[in-house]
Order: sequence, then structure tokens, then C-alpha cells
Amino acid sequence: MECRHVEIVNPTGLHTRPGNLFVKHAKSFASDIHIVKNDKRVNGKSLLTLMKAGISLGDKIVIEAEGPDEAAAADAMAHLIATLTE
Amino acid sequence: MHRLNGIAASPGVAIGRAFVYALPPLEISDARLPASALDAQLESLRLGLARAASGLSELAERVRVERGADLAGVFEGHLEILGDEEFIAPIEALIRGSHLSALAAIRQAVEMQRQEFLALEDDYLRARADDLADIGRRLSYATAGVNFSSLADLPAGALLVARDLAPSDTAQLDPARIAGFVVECGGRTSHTAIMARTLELPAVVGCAGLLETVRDGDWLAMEGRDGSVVVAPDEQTLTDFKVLREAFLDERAAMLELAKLPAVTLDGQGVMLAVNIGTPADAEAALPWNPDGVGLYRSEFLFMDRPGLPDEDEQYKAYSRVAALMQGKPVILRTLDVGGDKPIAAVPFPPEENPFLGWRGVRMCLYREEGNQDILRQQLRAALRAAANGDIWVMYPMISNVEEVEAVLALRDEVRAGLVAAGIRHGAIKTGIMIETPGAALLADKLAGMVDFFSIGSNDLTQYTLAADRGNERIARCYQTFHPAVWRLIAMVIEAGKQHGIPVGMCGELAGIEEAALPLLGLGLDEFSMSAQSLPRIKRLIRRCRMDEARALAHRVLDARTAQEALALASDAMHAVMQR
Repeated sequence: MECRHVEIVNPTGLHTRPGNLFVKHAKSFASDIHIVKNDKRVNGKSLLTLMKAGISLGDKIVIEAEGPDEAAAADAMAHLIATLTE
Repeated sequence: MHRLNGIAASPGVAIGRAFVYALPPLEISDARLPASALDAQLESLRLGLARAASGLSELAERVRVERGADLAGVFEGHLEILGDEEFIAPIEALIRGSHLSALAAIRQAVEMQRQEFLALEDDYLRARADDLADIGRRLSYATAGVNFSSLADLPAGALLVARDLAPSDTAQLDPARIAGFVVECGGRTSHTAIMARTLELPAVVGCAGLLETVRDGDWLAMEGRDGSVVVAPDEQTLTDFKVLREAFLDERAAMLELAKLPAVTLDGQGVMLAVNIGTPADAEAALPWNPDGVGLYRSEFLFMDRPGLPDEDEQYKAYSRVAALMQGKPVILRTLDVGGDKPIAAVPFPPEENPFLGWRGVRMCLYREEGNQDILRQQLRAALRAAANGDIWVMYPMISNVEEVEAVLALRDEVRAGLVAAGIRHGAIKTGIMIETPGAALLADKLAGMVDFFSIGSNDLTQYTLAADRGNERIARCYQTFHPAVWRLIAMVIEAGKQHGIPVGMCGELAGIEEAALPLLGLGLDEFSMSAQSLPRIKRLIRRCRMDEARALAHRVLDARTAQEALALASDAMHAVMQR
């Protein structure tokens, strides 16, 4: 399993649009992708659970990827979080 | 012809055909179904999901072409949720386990999901409960096989007539396609009214008898400034409304045209015209007027109407949102400005003989039991962190001596050192003070060397200089905005700023008064901050005058004997400039 620690830097956090972007991208990988925030661990391929996790500006999260393309997936998802601007 | 009256909610005049937005109510029963009926319900859910998805993807496509990727992205998110196992599985479970009909299961499951959103801490994500309601409604109608006419289907130029509008309704509206709103429910602060003012569409709310009187396709004329609505107007009425509409649109167009131009005098002297705000929503609403920044962000709005204090993260998010909306333009954040005259629940204010001369503004933050300055510390941490997302300036209210400036500077340095030591992302802030006590104004030459900017709070400066509470009717006449003594203090403050090379702004009401614009410009004020609506009128004046005449006028105002004399001078000069 590959983990990446990232901080949410876009002012509105992972709400509908950025969240959807994340999920769409996550689904392009074969690996399972999860987001961990504090004691919550949610499926990174489900927009509904991602939004309900309440991930917002300044939150420090961990991206976990597990599967055949886990390193590429973890890197790509961490990069995406870092480049959100909305 | 039929006349109705409602509450004036957003100015403007509209004439158009009514688009009555009323979905037929769905019959939903929570009755337990026999096991043999469940397969049919699951099948109808599947059909509903497919129909809703195809409707949504069409809508997203059209919105992308007509209104851009941002809004389309919202509906693409809805589409994603509609296909999300986490969304579908609970509905199916309710059909199988509780023997509910598809419609009843959708209603219950969506309501549970909504509650989970409503429990979130972040207000932005909490508002996503409305998205869930929207998705649920679309899916319900699709499952029932009832055509779901979305507001995005509104014919161009229509007047939207409804019982009430939800946030998820108005989010779909294309403001360019709609002439105005008339709704039966709500008041001036209802969602519809606020939305209409933000979109600058004319609106009348609280219009009793509306839905009984108006039919889809009827001609309507409405006036958003007095709340009148005419159904099927006769020819004369229609002509009257057209004249009204032309006049309103001409003025609006001139103001918006002006918004694009810089605030520069005829001889090329530029000044900053900024807005006063209380919340990120105010900042958003001010954007059409193209302000040069936020000259006063009243942080106390975050602290009011709640039992406790907002934590650092909540403040950080609000400040960051305003900074992001301003796209690199300065945002002047005023630290918590409350006191016995405007208390908050989280801080007990002991009764005082003279609250206006008491424990308020920066004094409340500095002079606390056991030297507890955590409110200010937390606010500074949030501001410094938010400065990583934009240009944040921080100013302190009610400063009356040098020691207070030293105290806030020390606190700022301590908080910044803490962030550096902890490796927390933050940015640079400018530090300024409000000049609103005569003491600070008279000592401005000493204070100017300590800070990066001044902002004159003209309301308090006037009341303290003239020892007049303007809320006291009997002496209201003593509160004189144009009193030469007040103007002399303002002149001293601006001069001290110039000597030390720091900008001087003003965020009191005086900065938005048309008569005051030219003499303030003449004194050398660098920044005027006011409500967004005042901005174009002040800009128009500034763009029509020259600095030499503004300076000469300022001299005469300072030399006046009475407020009446000063106002007469300023008013004559203003009218002369307006004639150009």
C-alpha cells in the first residue's frame, strides 16, 4: 500500500466539483483508493462518502492506494489535491 | 388587468410572460408492500435512475455550453452521485428490507443522507444537503414517470412565478434568460430575495394571491422597488412600465460601465475604491462593482448570533474565501470590534456607565482577566494563515495610545513566530490601525511610524470629537458629519500618513457620501471604503474632477466656521462637477 500525506489548499475543500474531479480521476486507476481524515477512512471512488467526510480547507489527509498501480495512483491523487484552486 | 402587491425585494422593472414553476405533488405512501410487489419497485427504481441520469447529462451538456464548465461541474457531480453505490444501496435496502415503494424509499434514504450533511461542521459542505435534495427530487419524479421540468428549461425573457424558490432551484437559473422573480412566500431576507439582489434581477416576494391569479404564459409587469405586480396589464400600464424600465436600465448600464473604469481624476490621480463587508457572501455580491479591494471586513459577524466563539479554522476558512474572491486585491480585516454597546454572547460584558467610552474594540481584546488574549491570538493565527491565500491586511479598532499599538505588534510577532516554529503555512500581512478616537488622530504623527497603514473610522471619530451620541434623538443635531473640527482631525491624520509614507483610508459612512468625496480627495485620502452600492456614484465624481480644484475645496472646508458652511461648499462643488 502507498500513502501520501497532503493538506487541502483550495478554499472550498472537497465539495461537489473538486470532489467529482477527484473521484473521476480515482476511478481511472485499478487500485483501491481511500482517504483518511482523523479517524475517518472513506472510499475515494465514492463522491457521496467523500463529500460526507467533510474535507475542507486546511485539513490534513492521507491518501492510501492499494493495488497493481498503487504508486502511480497515490502520486496522481496527491498531485491533484495540491493543484485544486477553486 | 389585475394589480397585486408584494414586498419589494430587489430593484428593477420587468415585463414578460409568466413561467409558473409548480411541480405536481407526488403521491407517496409509506405503506408496507407485499413481498411479491418488491421486484416491480426495484425495477421502477432502476428505470428512474436511468431516466434521471439521462436528464442530468443532457442538462449538464446544455449548461456547459450556455453557462460554462463551473456550473456544469455541479450537475456532473449530481450525475456521479446518482450512480454511486453508496447512494443507491440504501434505497434498495429500504425496498427489500422495509417493503417500501421505490418513491417512499427514495424519500427516506435521501432524507437520511441530507441529515448527515447537515451534521457537518464546514458550512460550505453543510450546504451540500441542498444538492442531495435536488438529486432526490429529480430521481423521484423520474421514478414516478412525471416529466421533471427544471428551471434550466425556462424560456428566455420569462418572469418566474412560484410559491417559493429553494437554493437548488435558483442555482440552476441562468440570470441572462430571466426577467425577474415574483414569489408568493418569503420576506426581504428570504433566499429568493437575497439571490435576486446578488444576481441583480428585479424581484417581488411575499405576493399574496399570486398563484391563484397568474396562469402560465400570462403577461406580467413588475416593479421591484415598490413591490407592485400587474397581471395582464392594459396598454397604458404597459407603456408606463416600459418607460420605467428604460430609465432603470439606462442608469444600471451606466453604473456597470463605470464599474469597469478605474477611479482616476481628470488629471490622472488614482485612488482606491474598496467595499465594506461582513461576510464572504457580501464580498461575492460586491464583485459586479469591481472594487479595488475590501477596505473593511467586519470580522465580528463571525462572532455574532452564536453561543460560543468561532474556532481558528472557521475563521481561517472565512478569511481565505474573501481573499480568494478578491483575487489578490487587498482585504483589510478588522479584528473583533465588540463592546457593551454591541455585545456578543461568548464574552460577558459587565454593565458600564459609558459603554462607548468603555471596554470595546481592541481594549476588549487586550484588557482581559489574567491577561488572557486568546481571542486576538486566534484571530491573528487565522489571518496569518489566510494570508497564504491572498493579500490580507489586519487593522485594530479603537486604538487610543502608543502602548496599545506596541501590544498588538508584540502579539502579532509572537503568533507569527509560533507558526514558523510549527512549520504551519502562512503569509505576510500588513498591520494598520483605525483612527477613530481624537487621541489617536492628534497623535497620528507618532503612530504612523509604527504601522503600515491607517484607516479612519469617521463615525466614531465624529461622535467622540463632538461628544455626541447620534442615536440620542435630542442631540442628533450635534452629530455633524461636516463639522470643521472633525475635518481638521482627518486632515491631520492624512498629513501624518503622507509624512511617513503610509496609505490612509477611510471606512466610515463619510467615505460613501457624495458631498464628501471631493474634499476628502483634496486632503489626499488614498482609499475610500463604502457599501458596494455607493461605489459607482463616488467613482463618477472622482473621474470628473481635477486635483487642484479638490485641494482648493478641501482648504475652504477646513477653514469653514460651521458644518452647514462646510457642507454648502462641498455640495456646490459636487453639483458643479456633476454638470460636466
